[in-house]
Amino acid sequence: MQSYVRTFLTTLGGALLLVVGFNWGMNPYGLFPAPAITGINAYKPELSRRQYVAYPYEVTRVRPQVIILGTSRAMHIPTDQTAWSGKRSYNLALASSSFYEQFRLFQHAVASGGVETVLWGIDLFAFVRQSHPDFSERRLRVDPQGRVQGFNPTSYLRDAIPGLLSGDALRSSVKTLHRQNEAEDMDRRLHANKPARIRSAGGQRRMFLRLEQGVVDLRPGESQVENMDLDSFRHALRFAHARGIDLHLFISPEHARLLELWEALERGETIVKLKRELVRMNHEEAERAGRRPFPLWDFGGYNSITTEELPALGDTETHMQWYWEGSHYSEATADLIVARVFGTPHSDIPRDFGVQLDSGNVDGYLMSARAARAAYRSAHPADIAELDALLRRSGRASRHQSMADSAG
Amino acid sequence: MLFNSFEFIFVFLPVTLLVFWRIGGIGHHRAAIAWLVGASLFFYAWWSPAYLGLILASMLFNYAVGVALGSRPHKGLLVFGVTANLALLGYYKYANFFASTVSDLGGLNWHLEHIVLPLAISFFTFQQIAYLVDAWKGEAREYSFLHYCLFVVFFPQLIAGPIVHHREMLPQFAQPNVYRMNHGFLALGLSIFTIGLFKKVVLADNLAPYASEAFAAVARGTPLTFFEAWRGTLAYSFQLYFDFSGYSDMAIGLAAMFGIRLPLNFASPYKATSIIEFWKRWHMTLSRFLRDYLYFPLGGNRKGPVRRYLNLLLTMVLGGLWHGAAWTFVAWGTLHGIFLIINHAWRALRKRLGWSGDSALGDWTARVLTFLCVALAWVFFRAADFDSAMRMMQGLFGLNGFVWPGSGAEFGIVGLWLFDMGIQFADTDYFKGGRDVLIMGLLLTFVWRAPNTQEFMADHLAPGTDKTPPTIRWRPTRAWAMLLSGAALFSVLRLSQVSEFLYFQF
Repeated sequence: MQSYVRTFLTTLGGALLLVVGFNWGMNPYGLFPAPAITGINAYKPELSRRQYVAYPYEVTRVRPQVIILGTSRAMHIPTDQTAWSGKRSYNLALASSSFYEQFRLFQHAVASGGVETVLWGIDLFAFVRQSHPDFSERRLRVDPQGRVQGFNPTSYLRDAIPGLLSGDALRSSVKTLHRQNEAEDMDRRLHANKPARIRSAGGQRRMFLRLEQGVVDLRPGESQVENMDLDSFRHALRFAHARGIDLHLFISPEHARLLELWEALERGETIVKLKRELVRMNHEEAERAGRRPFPLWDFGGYNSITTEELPALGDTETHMQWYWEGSHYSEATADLIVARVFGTPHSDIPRDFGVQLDSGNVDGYLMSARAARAAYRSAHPADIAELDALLRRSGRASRHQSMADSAG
Repeated sequence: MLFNSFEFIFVFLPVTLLVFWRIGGIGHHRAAIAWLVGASLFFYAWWSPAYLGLILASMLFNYAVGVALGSRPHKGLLVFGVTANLALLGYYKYANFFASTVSDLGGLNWHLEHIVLPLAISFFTFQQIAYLVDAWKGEAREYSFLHYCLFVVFFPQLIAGPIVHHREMLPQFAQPNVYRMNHGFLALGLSIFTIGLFKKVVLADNLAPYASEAFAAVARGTPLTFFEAWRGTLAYSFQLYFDFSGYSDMAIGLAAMFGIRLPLNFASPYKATSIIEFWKRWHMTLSRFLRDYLYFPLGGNRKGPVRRYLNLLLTMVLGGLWHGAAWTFVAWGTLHGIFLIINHAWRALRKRLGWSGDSALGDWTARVLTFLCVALAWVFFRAADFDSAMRMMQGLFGLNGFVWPGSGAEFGIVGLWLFDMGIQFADTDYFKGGRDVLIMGLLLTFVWRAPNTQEFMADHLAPGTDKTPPTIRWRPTRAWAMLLSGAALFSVLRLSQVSEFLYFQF
């Protein structure tokens, strides 16, 4: 019996130690201070699966000077930009995050030290989003009032133990080792496997339609601007002014087809109102701080990027230059945004892409967007008809019909 | 603290065992017991420190009443003691239920603040009621308070049973070999614990999503088709089986590490060929308690068949209510009461008609029928409310149609016949066709055919009583040690997906 117990415990103990050692060394979620070795574990493809757990720890260790914030759209912004060359940069954008969560990550990164410049991609729906199930305040260095909290070892253990001792972490470690050959274009990895992704999705028009169907199925609630979480936006501005952060804000460029869908779902007015609110708050907070308002860019609306033509249905070989689908723009678009916002030279930036909003020009700009919309509709009857059919199938025909009549 | 957690397996258990052996090994048995009581209370408080006072007060009260009853058996005092225990259980478990029922019936607007159910209260209340009754009968020896505490809070059985009897527990702690590390006990304990852990985290937890999504769908008002409803119901039947079986194994394994033998609580219940036998195999210590302390005092079978059936029904209804304060549990208990009555009546009829023949076919028919009755009753046990349960029943009885996923092309010509028989081919949300049938079929074969833990370890748990073929019998060999440590590793790597045991809520 003694040898049975010994064999059982040593086999189990040895195997557990191996797993722990391997997971610590591979460090797939960046939770441990393990060395990053090129070709072994430097590239961490699995980290994005555990963004909400991993990013708060990693950003503390990296101590970037430049951070990118936002939702999955901003995740597509490569960090290797000339605009901030020579500075440590980190893309802290979180998929499906609410604006509040982004604001808390912003506070956390600043409290971790070193942050000078922030590029923040704003998606208007982030103001109505519920908290993400993986988000937790306990990982952050600051409380919501901005008070710095000490390191919480219990909280760290709750993340570190599964990171060392779980089948999930073990699988991620193995994948990390396997996928090191993809690391060459680390920042532009989505771009690198674009052809395969588009082919497996059945072409980009199908990708657009799938997203649009999802938007219609979601039946976005009748949320009014008054009910949105704009306090987080105000707090973010106030916090950035107080800390002297060089903050750059931009509203994501959604494709014109998606804008059409918002109009059909009667969200158009809300979006206009929301943009006005953001401009007003930016102005108010700057006055309060005695500083200039932060640059707030709008890349949305109808311009030569957002009105890019779609390939035909079933065409899996033609790739759009600026979009994945109606909501997620490509890395090329992200490069244009960064160049426009930071004023770095870029040969491809169309003149009509991106307008810096301020209290002086917001009304005129939003009016001119209406004319641009009418032009888009008359130039793209096939796209409009396709969206119309989609809405009709989903029981939204009457609303859309009335909109089509009025626009016609 | 959960048995299936890192803190329990890697910190609490090794520390508790090592310190217990260290203190006990140098002859300080009382100190070792005190350590075990302290550790068990810590184990309890880890979850809900607020109720530590409650369990301590309950033990103090029952011990005092027990001592008084032991020295002078007084029926009034016994009634007072039992009533006080039931009142405590009633307040925490049934006050909300009572208020809402009275409020609904009387059209009143009664509302009570939600009362949180203290962990393990259903279990420690029953154990202590049994102790009081035995003390009154003069069958309880005079134990020290420390020993009494250990009998109530010994952590392997504290949270979800087995419901132990003082007579089977306390004499074991008088054995000197309990206080020294014994490799035999430890080997047995580690192995049984590992089997239980595997059942829980690998089998039960993987089945949980199938059950949850089907029962969530009916709770939302979604009608389920025949195969979807059966997949959900069978998944829950197996989830509960492996969850409770796993927990019972873990409890027995943990106690075995201390050299303590806990009573068997679970013995392949789905192998039962009648509902009577089912209750001799499922939650055996609860059945024993209900029989000894409810059914017998009600008169048992001594007052004629009508009273016997009424007593059975009442016992099962109350047994149902013990599991939870909801009408769905009452319905579940009532169903089992009716099943038992039919079962007893059928036996009586067979006896009168002189039918005694046993056949393999008869056994299997009875086994399948018993399983189906148990599975249908689980619907009420699991469903969020009555409406959901009835919606599930509609699906189970085919009232929402029979839909097989896909085009039916895989059936070839038989597909046409199936179509004629009323099976439609279309997309289904909660049934994935052949794969699900295979999974459920394998699980059913397993619970019907595979040896259970006590059979598998029969040489060491109960020598000479098993029928398991020797090839799959556990032996303390190197190969078994490595195989089970592999199972332990596999289970430990799944611990980060925390899930409670279903019986914790009762």
